[in-house]
Formats: sequence, structure tokens, C-alpha cells
Amino acid sequence: MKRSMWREYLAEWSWKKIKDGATENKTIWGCMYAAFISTFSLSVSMMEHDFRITDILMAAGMFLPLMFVMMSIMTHPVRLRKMRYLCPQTAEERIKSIRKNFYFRAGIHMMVFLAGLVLIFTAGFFNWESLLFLLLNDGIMSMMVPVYGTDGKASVQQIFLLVAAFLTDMAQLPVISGPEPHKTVQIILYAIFFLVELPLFIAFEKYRKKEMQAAGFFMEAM
Amino acid sequence: MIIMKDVERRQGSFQMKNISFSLPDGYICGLVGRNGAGKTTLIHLLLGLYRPGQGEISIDGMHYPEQEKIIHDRLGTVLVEELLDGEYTLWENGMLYGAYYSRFDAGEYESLLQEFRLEKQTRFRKLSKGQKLKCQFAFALACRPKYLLLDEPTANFDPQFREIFLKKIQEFVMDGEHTVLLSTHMTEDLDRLADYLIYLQKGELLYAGDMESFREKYRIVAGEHYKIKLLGDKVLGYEKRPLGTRALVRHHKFQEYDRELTVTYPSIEEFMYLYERNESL
Repeated sequence: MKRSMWREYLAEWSWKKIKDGATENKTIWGCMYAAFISTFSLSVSMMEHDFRITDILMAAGMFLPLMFVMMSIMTHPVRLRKMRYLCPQTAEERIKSIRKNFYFRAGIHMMVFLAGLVLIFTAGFFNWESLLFLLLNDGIMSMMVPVYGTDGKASVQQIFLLVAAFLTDMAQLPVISGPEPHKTVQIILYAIFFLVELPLFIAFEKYRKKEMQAAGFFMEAM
Repeated sequence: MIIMKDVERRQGSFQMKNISFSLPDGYICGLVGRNGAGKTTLIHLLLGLYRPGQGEISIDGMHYPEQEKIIHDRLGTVLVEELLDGEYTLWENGMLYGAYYSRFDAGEYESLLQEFRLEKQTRFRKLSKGQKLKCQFAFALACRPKYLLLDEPTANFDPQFREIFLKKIQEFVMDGEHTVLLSTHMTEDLDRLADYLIYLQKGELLYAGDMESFREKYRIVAGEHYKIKLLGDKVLGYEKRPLGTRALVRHHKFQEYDRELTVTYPSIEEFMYLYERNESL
């Protein structure tokens, strides 16, 4: 009998886990909440009387996957049960299964983001710059899955990265909602991506890889 | 054979020092000590979950981490915490984790579940604490290990199952090649079964040896306080009662006692109780 990664993943979606995840990651939730409220109130004030159903669809395509992935990240760290450290396995074999779990979770996140992108571009105006930017951002957020939770520096990196990715994603919404190319906005957003998000992501990846390597041993994982 | 030689480990403010013992095959070993004495840490060290700061641990001549996979194949474990997956049924859990063990016997696992009155299609998380431990015990036995390491399972067993459990571990060691290390506070079980005793106190090894030597080495002496006082530094601990004093004393075979003193062999519980009261007379 083989382990079902789907089953394990779905089993961890419970109200209790979400609550525990929120308590454990108060700062991240707080920052994301503040970013969400500020962008939401900003978009409502910009909307004025020109209210369209496509705006709602685009916002849903942006917000819902983001919320799903955020909750998934907080409630599904890639960890092994203690029993796996007692079973006859080498540390390398354990690291391999952790790696598999990680890519599985990142894959799920990316699929959800892609579904959101389909909705966004169906409702809005398609342009390659925005698609590429959103794909890069979504790729980064999909891979923010911690192995055993984050602490210290990595936690700060994660918060900054998530907030930056969230805000730049939101900034793409007005671009997609109209036919104009908004070249200046794209240049600024890409600059933020390469100068802020990418270095943060590389630093967080280093931390995650180190954690993944340590997860082969119970003592270091705990 | 399980050997620990000069093992030390620091964990926060707790420190385990100079732990040395050799547990031969075919023994039932009782691991006793008060809460926080280091029993669980010792089991975690034997399981390779913790690494010692100093010293050496060898199981059948093999060491962690190089031979971890072979060692774990020879160990069956029951810990107080939930080891199996709550989302899977007992049968699925057995098949999932059993796949890692070279000698796992699915048929035996099924018959043990039946014997322990556990429904194999029940999800693990739906079991009571005692039932979860029974299931883990069944799994550990079905892996056909050479060594069974059991961390305080008996406290959660009902009296009927406790008897079955004790019978099972007696059967397990019967061939003289298998060994059980049982950490428990139910010392009367150990008085009945154990051939070897490891007693820890505040991270230090107080006694490690066979029960025969343990019984030879100590006595409980009861009688008038002044007569016990005459035994001097042989008294390891005592308790003053309205009708006299009861003391734990270090014994040697030529030792003679006052005829008015009652001398008995100590049970593990009496030994622990009186030893911890090591006030001066």
C-alpha cells in the first residue's frame, strides 16, 4: 500500500488546524490582513460609480487563490511524523520523501493560482507582461511552504515576500482591467520583483533547503 | 545486546550523565525512576532519535547513525504519544508503516488486532488512548523485532489487557534471544517479570544490573528507630512511623541484623520510595 499524498494533504484541512496555524503565525496573518484591507479599500474608492461584474471576477481570481494558498502554507508544513524516524529508513530516504511532499504541495498551490489566472484573464484584458509577472509571483508564493515552520530571520523574509507579492499582484489588477499597456507600471512592478522579491526568495530558499536537509534527522527536525 | 557506555546528554537544564549498562539478550528490563528522571530520554537515545553528547550506544554491535536502518529493523517501539496516522485505519497504518520493516507479518498484525479486540477498519484517531497503545503494541509485535522498547504503556491499559500484555512480553523473551525494555511506574509488574533493572534518578544511573543482584544488594529493615540508627551508613533511606522505623539498607551476605528487626527483600516500589527519602538518621 502506498501513501496517498492527496489524502494526507486533505486530512490537514481542518478548522482546528487553520486556527492553530493562525495563532502560530500571528504576524504573517496580521501583515496580510493589513495589506488586504488597504488594497481592498483603495480599489473600492477607485471604483466610484463604474461598477462592473468583470471587476468582481478579476478580484475573485486574485484574492481567492491567494487566501487558499496562504492558509495552505500556514496549515501544511512539510513534516514527517515521528513514526517515520522510527521506521527502518536512512536519513536520505526521509529527505527524499520530504522533498516529494514539498513539490506536491507547491504543485497544488500553483494549480490553484493557475485557475485564478484563467478567471482573471477571461474577465480582463490579456497581456503577456502581466501574465508573466503573475506567474513569477505565484510561483514564488507556491514555494513558500515551510518544512517545520519558520523562525527568526526566515520568518521576517517570508512576511516581506508574501506582502510584496500580494501588493504587486494587486497592482496588476488595474492594468489587466483596461486595454492600455501601462508600460511605466509594469517597469516599476518588474523592478520590485527583481530588486526586492527575488533576493528575498533566494534567501528563503536557502533556509528551506537547509531545513529540508536537517529534516532527515529527528533531533534536528524537532 | 544493548550497550550504553558513558553516555551523556544535555537537554536544556536537564542533564543525563555517565549512563553505562549492558543489557543481555533474553531479558525483560524494567526502566524506573521518578518523572523527569530521564527514562524517555534514555529510550529516545536507544531509538536513535537523540544523539548522545558523549559516550557510545551499541545495539547488536551496531551504531547510529551509520547503521540506523538495520538497527530500526530490529526495534519495535511503543511510545505514549500517538505514532500512527490518525487519518488511516488500523489496517492501512499497518500496511503503510509495515512496508518499511523486512520481517513485518500482516497476518500476525491482523490476528493481534483481533486478539486485542480492535476493529481493523476503524480510523486510528477514533480510538481511545489505551486502544491506540494496544494498536501500536500489535504493530510493534507484528514487525517481529528483536528488541521491544516500551515507554510507559501499561498505565493506559485496562486490568484485563494488562495481563494479556504481560503474557505477551513473557512469550516474546521466552526463546532467550529477544529483549524487552519496559519503562513503567507500575513497579509491581516489574517485580513479577523483570530480570534486569535500570533505575534513574535526576539523569543519573542509580542502579543497572540483574534483579538477582538487586535483591541481594538491598534489604528493608523495620523496627525501633535507635536499632536502625546503629546500622550507620548502610542506611540509604528511611521512614519514621508511629510504631517504628522502616529503612532501606545496603546489604552484603555476611551482614547480620538485630534479632528484633524485621528484614525483608525490597520491592522496586519500596526501594524507590525509601531511596528518594535519603535524609540523615
